[in-house]
Amino acid sequence: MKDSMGDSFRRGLQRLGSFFRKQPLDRELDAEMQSHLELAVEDGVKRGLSPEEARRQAMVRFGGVTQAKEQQREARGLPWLDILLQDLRYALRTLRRDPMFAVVAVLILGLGIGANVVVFSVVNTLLLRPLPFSDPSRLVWMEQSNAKGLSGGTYSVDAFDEYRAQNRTMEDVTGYMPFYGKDDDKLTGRGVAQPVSGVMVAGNFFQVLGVQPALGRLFTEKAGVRGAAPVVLLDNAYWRRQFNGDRSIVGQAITLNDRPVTVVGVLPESFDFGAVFDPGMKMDIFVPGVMDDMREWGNTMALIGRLKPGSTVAQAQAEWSAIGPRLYFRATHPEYGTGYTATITGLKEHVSGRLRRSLIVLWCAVGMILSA
Amino acid sequence: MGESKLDLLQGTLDLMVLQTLAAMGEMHGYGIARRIEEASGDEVLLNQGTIYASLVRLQQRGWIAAEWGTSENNRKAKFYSITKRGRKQLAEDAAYWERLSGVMGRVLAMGNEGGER
Repeated sequence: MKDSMGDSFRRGLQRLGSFFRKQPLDRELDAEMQSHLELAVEDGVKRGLSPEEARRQAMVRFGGVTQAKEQQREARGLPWLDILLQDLRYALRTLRRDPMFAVVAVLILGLGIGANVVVFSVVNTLLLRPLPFSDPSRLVWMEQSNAKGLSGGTYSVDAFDEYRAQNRTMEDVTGYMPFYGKDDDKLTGRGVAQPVSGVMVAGNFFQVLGVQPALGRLFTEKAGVRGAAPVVLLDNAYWRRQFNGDRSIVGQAITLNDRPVTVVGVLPESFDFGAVFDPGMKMDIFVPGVMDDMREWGNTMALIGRLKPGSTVAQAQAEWSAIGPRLYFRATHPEYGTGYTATITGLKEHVSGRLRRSLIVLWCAVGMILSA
Repeated sequence: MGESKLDLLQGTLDLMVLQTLAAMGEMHGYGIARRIEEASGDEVLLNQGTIYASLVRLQQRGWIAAEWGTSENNRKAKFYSITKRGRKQLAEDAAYWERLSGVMGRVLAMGNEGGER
């Protein structure tokens, strides 16, 4: 029989309804079949059969009662859902009867879920989630082509200044000094001396990334001038851990490497330097690099640019080939030479690129634990 | 859902039930089964129990309605009647079956004249 769409839909709803009213419907069916058999027996007796013979014949004509009930239930409800529930009950019984199996099953599931959660959170941070900066798609990473190690990939302060002044594709360019070590700095004056991880950044670092402070203010360009009053910005997690989230710390001086330094602000929770630039690193404090000092140190800056709206990575790359070869290593010593190369990539690709393949493999691997 | 294998058989029984109700008015399951057996000249050996799957299917599609009542000899029984939509469906399905059996008859009638080479 061909149903119209409406009739099929109506029947689907009815079947779903039947699934939840199994017991009353079963009772009704029992009563109906009971009355069927009684009517049939009565008929037989009327035709002159003995009640026993009439009952026997009625049963034969009816066919199997259990079978007929089963058929009716199948037609009326959702047999596959019933089967699923049966399987679940069976699984639970098995688990109860064999506790060792239950323990092993739970352990494997637990491990599998745990591994998946961990890997997913890493994948989510590095591959899926956009960078925690404003308009992150315009941020680019610049490093010297064929970079070998950090020095090979970085630029001198003079080159940074020149490029910043000459380019037309970037809204602004910034950088940080990647030659830091974990716990290189020292916080004193608050009980036991504490090791601290810090990084020197250009004065416009947070402005270019588009990070707003949670408390206080960011650095100004003047903070990177020689002789400026020393200032520091605190990582949010570090601020909570080391200063118990004390809001009055802003404006106070702390002693870093035996010198008093004023805390000008606290960065937002969403900003995690390590997650973006140095996976595995927890950065505690940020200080403005004194550009005139760094000028003497050679190639010390990792560069990040923010493209102008409408500019593309390809345009920036093309522009570089006009500017880069003329950049001095050290402007006051032209004899040191000129010429920087650059490979410009989207910051997001740079961050995820290094780990992309291994992460995807890992993700698949832990997925297998669960699906197996 | 296990229906497709027996599609023809089930479809046939559903149609017979609709026709019986259209012709006889309100009836209980036993009455419908007896009526079909009689009408078919006992050529159909029907397990009467199978009629209940057919009845619930038709009811869920809204082609028949059901109500508990009392039989002429004072027994409680569930009585079925055909609905307006059921009559429409019956007309469509009956026409389809007539066409199909006509075609089958013509197809099976040929071949005897041609003979084998």
